[in-house]
Amino acid sequence: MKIRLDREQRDTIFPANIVLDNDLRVIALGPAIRGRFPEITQGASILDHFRLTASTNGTTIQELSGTASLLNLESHRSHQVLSGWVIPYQAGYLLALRLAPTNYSLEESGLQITDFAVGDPAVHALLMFSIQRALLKEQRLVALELDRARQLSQDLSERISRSAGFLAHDFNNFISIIKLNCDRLKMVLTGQERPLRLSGLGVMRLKVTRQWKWSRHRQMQGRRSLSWRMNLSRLRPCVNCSARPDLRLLASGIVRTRSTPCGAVRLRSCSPTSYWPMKAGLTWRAKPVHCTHRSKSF
Amino acid sequence: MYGMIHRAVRQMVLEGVGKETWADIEAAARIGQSELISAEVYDDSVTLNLIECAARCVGVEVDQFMIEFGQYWIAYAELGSFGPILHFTGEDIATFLRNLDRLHESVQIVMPDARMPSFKVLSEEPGALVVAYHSHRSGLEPFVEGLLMGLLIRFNLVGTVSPMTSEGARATFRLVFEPRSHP
Repeated sequence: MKIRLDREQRDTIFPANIVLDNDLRVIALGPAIRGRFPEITQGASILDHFRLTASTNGTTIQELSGTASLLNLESHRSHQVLSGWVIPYQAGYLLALRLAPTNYSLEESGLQITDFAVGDPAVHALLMFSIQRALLKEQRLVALELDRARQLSQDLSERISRSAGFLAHDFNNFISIIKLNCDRLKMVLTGQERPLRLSGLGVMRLKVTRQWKWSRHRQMQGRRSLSWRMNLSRLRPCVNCSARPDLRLLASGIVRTRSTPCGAVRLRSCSPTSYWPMKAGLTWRAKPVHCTHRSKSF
Repeated sequence: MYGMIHRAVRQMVLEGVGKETWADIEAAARIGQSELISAEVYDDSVTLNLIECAARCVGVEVDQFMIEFGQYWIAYAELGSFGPILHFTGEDIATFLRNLDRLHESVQIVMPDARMPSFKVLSEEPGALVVAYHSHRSGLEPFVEGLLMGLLIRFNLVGTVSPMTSEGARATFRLVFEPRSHP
């Protein structure tokens, strides 16, 4: 069967076509070949530019002519692969080729849609791979963004909970001071007790609690075990400890206290990983120097 | 519509007017991070509401905002992950528009929930094109006008895009252009 194709039809059906004479010299090139291989000129030998890389039924273009065997040509310059068939054409051969994507990355191949014939399934394959790749890239960006947003929100709620803890403790301290003063006032007014010289104790306590919290916070940052010391000798004139003659300090479950002979009290975390401000409140119990028959909690 | 449209709106607002305006838009449109996932499909009403809120907060008419957004979309797609795909689709504006339906067919396979528009080059003369647009959605003609303007810029052309006819979700546009002269 003889096929007659004019140049326009030939270029539309096979954008990557090469017309050769009997000596395998180039007579005409399709638009895709002209665009991608500008160095190929009319009259040049096809074998100067391409290497025949694979065939099933022969080793030369002449032997492949008119057979159903696939011709593969690899460019000497760019390693671009062309595949197709050899059709006897006029007095020579028509290489009806297509650009075979060596990889499916459009960025690397530099291919254009016009390098392929209309309806060539390779276009769909290339586009689908590229779209999938682009979507994956997009998804990766979205995942990073979401991760960053989640981290920010986590940090924010941590800060809020920390501030709320500080506020609660400070509030508790202020309430304690008020309560203490009310008790003192009541005792003075009812004449039951002599006024206790406890002025400044509440402030001291607040300071101690804050220092304790700060030390605890630093311990959490560095994951070091906490060893915290506070000299409470200033409190001795005002309070008396029920266990020792100077002071007794009680703390909740995650700290333990130990009074030292010099009058300082050492607090040590029982659990280095426990997290403040869950239950790190300090409860103070002191007995007034001038009131030995009962202790006061505040 | 896909979340990538929302992301492009956000990027345009962030680049154009800043974070504070985007925060206002988010609050007005009642959207958050969960409406900004590229491959997620959202109801068209979410997208249109976002565009309306953005136009209001930026202080322009919705149609004007859509024209600007269409223009921005081309630059956004080209600089982002879809750049190589745009490059593959055509080296000049006529080739690009002729192959846009082929690109959309492939997108449709990968993103089956997408409802892609169709573009046809009705006539082509040197420096002028008539393009027919058809979509399942109506009201996006200003966006398409912006897209075509964005394409002129992308292909280093200067010119105008004029709507010729518009009927429902069909419209035709005339593009008149010439190469941008470099000083």
